[in-house]
Amino acid sequence: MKKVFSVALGVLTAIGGFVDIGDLVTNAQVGARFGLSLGWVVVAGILGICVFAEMSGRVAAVSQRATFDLIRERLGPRMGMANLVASMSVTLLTFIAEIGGVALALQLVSSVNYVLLVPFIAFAVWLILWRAKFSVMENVLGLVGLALVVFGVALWQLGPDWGDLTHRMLAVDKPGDEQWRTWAYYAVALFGAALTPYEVFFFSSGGVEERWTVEDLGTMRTNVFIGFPLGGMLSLAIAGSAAVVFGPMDASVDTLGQVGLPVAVALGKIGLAVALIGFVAATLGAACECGLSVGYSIAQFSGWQWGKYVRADVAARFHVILVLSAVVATGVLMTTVDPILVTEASVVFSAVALPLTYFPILVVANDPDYMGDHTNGRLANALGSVYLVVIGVAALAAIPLMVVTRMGA
Amino acid sequence: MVWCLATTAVLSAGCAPGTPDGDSWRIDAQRAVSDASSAVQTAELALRQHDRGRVFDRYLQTVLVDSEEAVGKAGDTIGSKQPPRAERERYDAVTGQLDEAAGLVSIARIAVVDRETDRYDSLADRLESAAQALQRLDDDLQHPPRTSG
Amino acid sequence: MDDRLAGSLDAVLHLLDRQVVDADDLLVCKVDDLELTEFDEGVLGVTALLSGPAALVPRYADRRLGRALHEFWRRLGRTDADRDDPYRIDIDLVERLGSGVELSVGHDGVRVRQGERGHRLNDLLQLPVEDLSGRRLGRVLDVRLEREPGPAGRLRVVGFVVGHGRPGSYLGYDRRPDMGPWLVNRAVRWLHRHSAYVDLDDVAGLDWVPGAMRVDPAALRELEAA
Repeated sequence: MKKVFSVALGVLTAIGGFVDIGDLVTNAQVGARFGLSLGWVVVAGILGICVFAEMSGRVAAVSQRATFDLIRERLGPRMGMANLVASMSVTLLTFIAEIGGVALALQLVSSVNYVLLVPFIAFAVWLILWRAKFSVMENVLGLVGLALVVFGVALWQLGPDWGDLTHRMLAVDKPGDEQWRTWAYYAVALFGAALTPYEVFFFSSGGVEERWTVEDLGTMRTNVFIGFPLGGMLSLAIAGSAAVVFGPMDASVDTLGQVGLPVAVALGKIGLAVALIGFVAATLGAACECGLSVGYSIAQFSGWQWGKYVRADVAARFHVILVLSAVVATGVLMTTVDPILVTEASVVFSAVALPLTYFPILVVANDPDYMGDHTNGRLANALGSVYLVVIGVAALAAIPLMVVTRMGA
Repeated sequence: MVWCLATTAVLSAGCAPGTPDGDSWRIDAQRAVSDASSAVQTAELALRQHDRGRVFDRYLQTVLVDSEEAVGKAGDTIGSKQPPRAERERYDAVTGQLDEAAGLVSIARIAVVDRETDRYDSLADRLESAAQALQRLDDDLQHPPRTSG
Repeated sequence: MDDRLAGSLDAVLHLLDRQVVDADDLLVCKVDDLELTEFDEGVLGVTALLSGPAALVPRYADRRLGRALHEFWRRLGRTDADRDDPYRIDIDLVERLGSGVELSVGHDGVRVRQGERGHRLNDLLQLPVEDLSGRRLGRVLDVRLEREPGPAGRLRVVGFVVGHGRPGSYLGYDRRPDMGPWLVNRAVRWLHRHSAYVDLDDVAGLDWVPGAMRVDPAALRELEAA
């Protein structure tokens, strides 16, 4: 019974923790402009994150080593350092976007300008990272994040033509007034939003924090293969409801307020309130995960003690990094840079940075020296190789597409 | 490495709109008009939803503040660009309509902040016709200017 | 995971850059470099794990940018006599080698600065490998180690992996023909098709100071997993 409960809890938090500011914004934008014609990218992204997370979770459970331990070992200090700098730049960018996202969500509740809220939110995030127990942080924010299921209900209430919606998704039916390169740019952005590197840093380091062993592999796989796809369904629901409400108006989505409007249209104030709770929980949870990921990765590369399973003074350098990241994020957001713009940039650069961490994990997951009997099977390697190519192509295409489309203009 | 690439990307993205040919102005204008139209329609949608009791006051207020900002930004962006000679006429139309839309969204925002709920309905109607005008302009901007004879 | 120290192992592939963990499972540092000592009768053995910037920074330093970085780092602390002196952890304190290097003691005061005592593995890895007439064959990519039998057995060098040093030499594919995925395996093994193994006894000469290792090409053998 206890086992069932813990598996169910894991699945639920995986669903609630799946969506972050990148998913919210990018899915709504794409839904409004392209309908569900890019829905297949979300599906491909979800399968990708499942493959990636399962490998890194398995490596963490079997070897007790998280992502950046292995990156340094397998790429050496020079390539490893380049990788660390690139991956941490992207993760910090995502961290800034998430804190900005919490601020925007609270602005919708309070109508106080988000810039004024940023310092308090950054402080709150740091306080959670410093004081809260790892499992409490993960479970509470993950469960509250489930409030975003309201988007699914909203889509159902809006009563779209389901046949048409799925047909457009399956037929990759690009709206006639959009160019293919813009379409491709948003495909990469959506892929980056579904497959953000911090998710994997956090997932594998979290596995070490929670002392996973080989016995936990089953639970881990259940979380990944049930939780993530269901979380991904939320992404599709966000895209779908934006498509229904904004699609006919030919309007673009540029603010978080617009992301929530379809829920208001469908379900009224109660639905909107639930969506707002979901926004705050999802972005706050993702902000905590990103902040921790920065600390985890730098400490793992350097060999320092990290983790919330030890007292803060034992992992002093790790906690110093957390403080510094919160300060940097506050500083950047206080320049009044648009958090939505930061989000758009972060999802594209996520796609750019992804192969840097994916490749070493794929290699280590095959190394019998680490993995013993738990190396990749045929299916994992077939999918792993396909995604190596897909991720590589997306990474190479991202920046040229960003330039030629002027960030999807 | 990512930062180098990012800088390059931002620089090249920043440089691109500077090219002063007619097509580039037209594309920029179209972009500004469609951004403004999105914002105006969003404001309208939010006001109408409030009338049906589906949106909180503060949420509505934030949506309108965002819309106002977006319309203003669209107007600033295109207003400060030198139009090519052939596009003078449409430049006036674009800036004029964007100014008008910005003014209208500001009026709506003021009404919303002051919670003058009885005006929401008529404001939504006015926003709707402004949005339609912007849509027409947007469609017109799809084509190069008619050579005036 | 089995104790790697029980059998033979490759220093770069299995030991270098690995996490050091203390007796209470707390994290200590990375293995930034290894100390190699020449004993009598031509025995070369690993005597300590080295860590800290003094061990790590030179490892960035075999290209021009890296050397500049090392010089810059040294200039930041001109006043420190022990700037280039890495922290040591004696190899006898290592209890087991799994996915981490497990120590038999707690982490308090476990890293000590004791001056430069022997050679560094990194210096060995920079050495060019030449044939008997001085023609370049490649460089040292890895060092194979084996523990001498007995409780106090030394961890001694038994051979070297020699190759061209292209990207991917830390990945392990050159030593494991069966490791997946197929695509990566083919690509990396093709890059490393010139890699070979040479027994310590077949090495004709190992000069640390001008820096070269001389090997009769006839003594090169096919590379196999440790």
